[in-house]
Amino acid sequence: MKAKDLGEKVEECLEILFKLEKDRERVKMTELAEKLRFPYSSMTVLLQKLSNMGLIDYEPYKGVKLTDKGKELAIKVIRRHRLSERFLTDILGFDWSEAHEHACKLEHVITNKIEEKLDEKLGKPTVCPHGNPIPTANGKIIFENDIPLSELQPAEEATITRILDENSNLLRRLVAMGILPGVKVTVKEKSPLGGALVLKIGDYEVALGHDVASKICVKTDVPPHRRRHRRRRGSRRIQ
Amino acid sequence: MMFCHERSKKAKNIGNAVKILLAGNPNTGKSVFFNRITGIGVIISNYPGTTVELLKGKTRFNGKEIVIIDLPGTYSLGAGSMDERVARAAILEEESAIVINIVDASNLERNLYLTLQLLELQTPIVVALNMIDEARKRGIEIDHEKLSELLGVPVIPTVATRGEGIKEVVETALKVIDGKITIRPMKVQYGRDIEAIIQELEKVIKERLKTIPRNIRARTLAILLLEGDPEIVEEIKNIDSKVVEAAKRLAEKVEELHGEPASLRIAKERYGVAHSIAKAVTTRYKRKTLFRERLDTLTTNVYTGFPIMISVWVALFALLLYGGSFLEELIVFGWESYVAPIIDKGLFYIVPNEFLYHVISRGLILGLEAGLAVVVPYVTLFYIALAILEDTGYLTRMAYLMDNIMHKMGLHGRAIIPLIAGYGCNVPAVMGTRVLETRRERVLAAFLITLVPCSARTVVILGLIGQYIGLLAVLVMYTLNLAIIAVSGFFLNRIIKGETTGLVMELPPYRIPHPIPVLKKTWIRFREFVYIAFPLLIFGSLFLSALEYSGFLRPVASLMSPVVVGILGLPALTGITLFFGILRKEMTLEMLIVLFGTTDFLAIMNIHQMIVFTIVVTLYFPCIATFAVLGKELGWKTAILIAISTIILAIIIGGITNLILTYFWM
Ligand SMILES: Nc1nc2c(ncn2[C@@H]2O[C@H](COP(=O)(O)OP(=O)(O)OP(=O)(O)O)[C@@H](O)[C@H]2O)c(=O)[nH]1
Ligand SMILES: [Mg+2]
Ligand SMILES: [Zn+2]
Repeated sequence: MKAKDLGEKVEECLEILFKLEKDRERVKMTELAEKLRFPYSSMTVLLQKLSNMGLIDYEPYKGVKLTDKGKELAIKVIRRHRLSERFLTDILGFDWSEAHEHACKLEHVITNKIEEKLDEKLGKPTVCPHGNPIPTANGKIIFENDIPLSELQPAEEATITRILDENSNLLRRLVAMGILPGVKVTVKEKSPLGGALVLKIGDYEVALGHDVASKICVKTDVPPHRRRHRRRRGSRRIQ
Repeated sequence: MMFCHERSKKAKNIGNAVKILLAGNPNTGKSVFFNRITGIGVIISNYPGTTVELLKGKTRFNGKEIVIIDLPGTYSLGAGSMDERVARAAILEEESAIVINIVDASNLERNLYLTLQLLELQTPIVVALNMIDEARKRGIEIDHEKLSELLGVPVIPTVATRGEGIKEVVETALKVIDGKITIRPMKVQYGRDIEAIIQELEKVIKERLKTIPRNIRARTLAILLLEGDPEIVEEIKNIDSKVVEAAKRLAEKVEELHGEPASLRIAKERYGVAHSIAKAVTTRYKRKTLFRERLDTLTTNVYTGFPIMISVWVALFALLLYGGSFLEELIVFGWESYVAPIIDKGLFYIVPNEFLYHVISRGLILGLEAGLAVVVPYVTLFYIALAILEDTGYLTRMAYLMDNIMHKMGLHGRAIIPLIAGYGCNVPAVMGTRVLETRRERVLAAFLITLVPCSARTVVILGLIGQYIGLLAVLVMYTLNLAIIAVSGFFLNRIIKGETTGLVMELPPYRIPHPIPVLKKTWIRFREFVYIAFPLLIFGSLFLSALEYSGFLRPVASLMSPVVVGILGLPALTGITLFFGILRKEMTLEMLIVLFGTTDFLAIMNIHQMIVFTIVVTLYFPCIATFAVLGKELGWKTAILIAISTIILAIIIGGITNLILTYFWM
């Protein structure tokens, strides 16, 4: 394998890790290999290299996690990817469904200077053609500052942002019951000491175990620092 | 359950009968429908996951032979737990003429999700818009004509519990089958890019697969594959892995485009359709907070929920102990002074051999008395109380409150419902574990259920401990048993490997239990005693007499005496009764009577032995029916392992009790 190819793989690997980590703590090597379309046998070499560069934290059997340095680099690659997409659609006139594939190639050859000029030329776009946020030049990405559902207090309202699930069984079950990203929920009751909670979703109620609730991320309408003061109880609204 | 099973077997030879499936979300009234149409008594309760198996019933409707199939409830076709898989398999595989989709009108939007999936399958459906009374109470009015127009299938408003609209639903279904009503099911339309991807995969499927398993359409298969349905993916992979690869590639494309997994995207869009339909047909009125909503808050709240739960338990025990013992006295008095003498006289004339007469008359009269005196008051009272708890919907609140504690045993709150059912009978309780998601949880829960003293064991506990020591001692026995279950659960949790999941359970609204359904359900459960236990009792007594007559009894007894006498300190002959206990647990007691020819158990055992005997009977080997259901549900290896463990547990705990009682007490 040529050094240049490996360099490309490194960047791609970081990018994929960054996306996958959104939904889980550590990423399994098999999953990473599959997404990268990289032979499993050569994965150890690649991961070893990344680990030596201080970009990832790799524990055999448990999986891979990006270090802060790795995250920084990953965000940079994502920025270049999404800028490339904009370039492809806005300037070269590609269809947005094609943009992604070509951008995957382009992102690896963009230098700092090109990136800067591109950003300017495109009018400092904030989202890619698919609607995903483009990280800023200083590596800031507009994270959804969501919190686990299990942290909400009774009577608090929130919107589900994502569901963290390793093997998608839980996701399947929750989705079937109408618990999925974008849905507004209210915590009705909550048992103490890490007990279950009762969630109200539209016209029905669902009891969720603490472990399940901690895998559901939500966004409240109230800013985080104000949340603590809002422990109203027993206020019921009737639709 | 057993009876429905027998009927279902008979119903299999359908011939030219019309087959109708009842499908819908859990707890929407499918079983009420089934019961109303066929007249077959099935268990109906106010919690999701009451029905866990297929129940078939044959009946005549307007001169037409029809077969109705009651399914477990399911939220979607992408099923997870065993009961949901049963429902989905039936929907996909049963060659039904039509599906009656029972929809909860008070919760339309989420119920429509499954309806849309059913429409995608393109099986003809008729929608029963059930619980409109409930919806009205909650200030929801649904325009069923408009709903029918939008869905393109007939929609009939019903109140199943009052029998309103059920006839029309079946009539309409038959009309659809006969072609008197034509349906034009709506096409569930996804966003443009998703549609393009579905069509692309559809093309691949049509090119590569000659036939599609289960006769589903290419479009439906494409959607199921994009959703990553594990079962379907596996199945298609074995036929042509290229199709699955294409599906994977396209699913990834969806993920690139939308930044979320294809399964989620598709579900979201389907919910979107459900939402807009529900919105278009629903009118909401202002209303007051209902009493039951206040009750809901009270029973789940931290400060009030736990005290209420404990009070419910205490009240239940008090009812069983005091109410039961009152009824018992009444029944025993009536039996001994009126019924027993008549049977005795009758037998005297019928049975020719004098020895046999004595054995039978004693066995029958005393056996029946033990049965009646304990079974009728305590067991029926328990079943009535259980039915009330089930019908109110309180059990689910208990499951919610107990979630934390159940986690210590590797289970979650939902497992509490089958465990409680185990106090009635272990067999349906083990079946009830189907609602749990993983095999590990099912094995764990089933094991613990076999340790729960079912009503048959209650007969023994009350007949010995209750009679000779007192009701307080009975309470102590039950508490001890709970402790044994908790400790066993704690250890099993460390031993058994596998996945654990968490609690995800819908809390149904509280409903007022009605006396007739409650009594019906009690009878459905109780009739097992009448139809199975009493015949077994009679045959058992005869068999025992024969055994004694032929001189086989003593050798068998002496074979078991190292354990029975040596470790447990019981009279040698009691070992024989333990064999009969394998058939049914209460037979241990009845056979003691037959064997020793007395109902005065103090003449057979001292108090100390009674305690040990009761403990052993409670714990050792789940009865044969439970064993069979364990084997059927979890595999014979697991069933045998559970059976052996319980025998060892019984000997250990019985032995320890024996030691303690011998050295420290008496
Ligand atoms: N108010 C009202 N209650 C109903 C109606 N139909 C059914 N119920 C109640 O709803 C509860 C559930 O009924 P079931 O027939 O057991 O529901 P199911 O769909 O078979 O449920 P699963 O077997 O768990 O899937 C019971 O408490 C019924 O009494 C109705 O039309 N109105
Ligand atoms: Mg049912
Ligand atoms: Zn993009």
